[in-house]
Amino acid sequence: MDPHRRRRWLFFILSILIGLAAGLYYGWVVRPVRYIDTSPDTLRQDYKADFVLMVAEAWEATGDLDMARRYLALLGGDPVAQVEQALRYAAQVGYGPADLHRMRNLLQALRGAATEAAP
Amino acid sequence: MTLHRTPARRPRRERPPRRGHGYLLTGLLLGFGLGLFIAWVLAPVRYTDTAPDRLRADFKDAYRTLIALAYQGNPDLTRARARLALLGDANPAQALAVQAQQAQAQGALVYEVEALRLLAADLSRASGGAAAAATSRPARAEPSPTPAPVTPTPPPGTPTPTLAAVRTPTPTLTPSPTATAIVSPTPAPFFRVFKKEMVCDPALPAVVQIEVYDAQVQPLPGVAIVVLGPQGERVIYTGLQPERGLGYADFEMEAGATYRVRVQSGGESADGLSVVTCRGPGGETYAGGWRVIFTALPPR
Repeated sequence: MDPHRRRRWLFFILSILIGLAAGLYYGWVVRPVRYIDTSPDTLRQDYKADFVLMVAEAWEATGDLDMARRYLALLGGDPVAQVEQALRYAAQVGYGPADLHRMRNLLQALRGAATEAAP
Repeated sequence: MTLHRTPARRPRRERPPRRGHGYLLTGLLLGFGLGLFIAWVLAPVRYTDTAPDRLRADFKDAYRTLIALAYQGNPDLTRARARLALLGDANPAQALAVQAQQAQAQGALVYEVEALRLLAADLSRASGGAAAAATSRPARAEPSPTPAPVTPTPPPGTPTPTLAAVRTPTPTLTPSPTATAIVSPTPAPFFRVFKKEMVCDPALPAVVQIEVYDAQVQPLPGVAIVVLGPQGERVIYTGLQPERGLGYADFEMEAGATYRVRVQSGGESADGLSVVTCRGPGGETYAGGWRVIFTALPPR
């Protein structure tokens, strides 16, 4: 390949790279994809903790553990692990004793049900 | 004869044709397009720390139901209101009422429908009406304002980098001991029949339309209306058809039956409601209904 042609190729590839960088910057920084239809498993940790607290309050009112499990399933993963994680976070940031108590009760109920269900 | 010597042709490679710099622009555009494809399709920015107002509509419904159920377990209206605010509804009470209606139509659990309804009613009452007092449930002790254990909604699209920065421990999260204090129940308002009139509307044949207003003539959602008919007593609620008004409820009458309606919390009844015969412009007949308006008497 003659030097002139090689230079052109070099500039061509360079311009692609510059365009790529500009495209990535635009797509990731200037106008990133906006998620407006998210699911509860993407919620921030503090919202997740409050979500678990709501489940605990709802369970206290209804006594329906299936309902509690159904709502906790929206957070993804193991319900017991979700409550444990939320409880740790709640204790860390200073939830009130009554709220912590509710969450602990829910955790115990879930663990108890899991133990009963185990063969 | 003169011989003209034609100049010898130069080899083409010695003098390449002049080309512009269009290829640079082509490269830039190609690269930009590729970059966008990567950024938007292959590896888009993933938000992992979203707020409830970004949830999909059905998840928002679940969130709203959970708020209402949690309110049953912990009747802290301030907390419920703060949680509802996270969803970004323009009118949370109306959103709850609409969802209650949809949930009922979809055969949702009875206690979920009831929870949605009651929270809608309590919110309406708290925002100036006497709606809740008019529902089937007596007014209950409302805890002193206690901040909900949630943080304010962050600006959209600004994930918080660290959890520690999300929320700092605040002693105010602890529910105040006064939350369980017993207060005297609010006296239920007395509703009188302000108007009872026959309605000839071919679009609403044999329907009793009920409207309930407070003393300030504001429509009251979530008000329990007792309908006494041939099948006995049943309760319907206002506000489940918000497009017709927050204080609106209706039911269809059976031919030959007579009905009586009243607000459950107390007051006058509208009696003698039965299907009426209406005549159209061409002399044709069709079944007509009634419109009953209840208004709360101002508190003494």
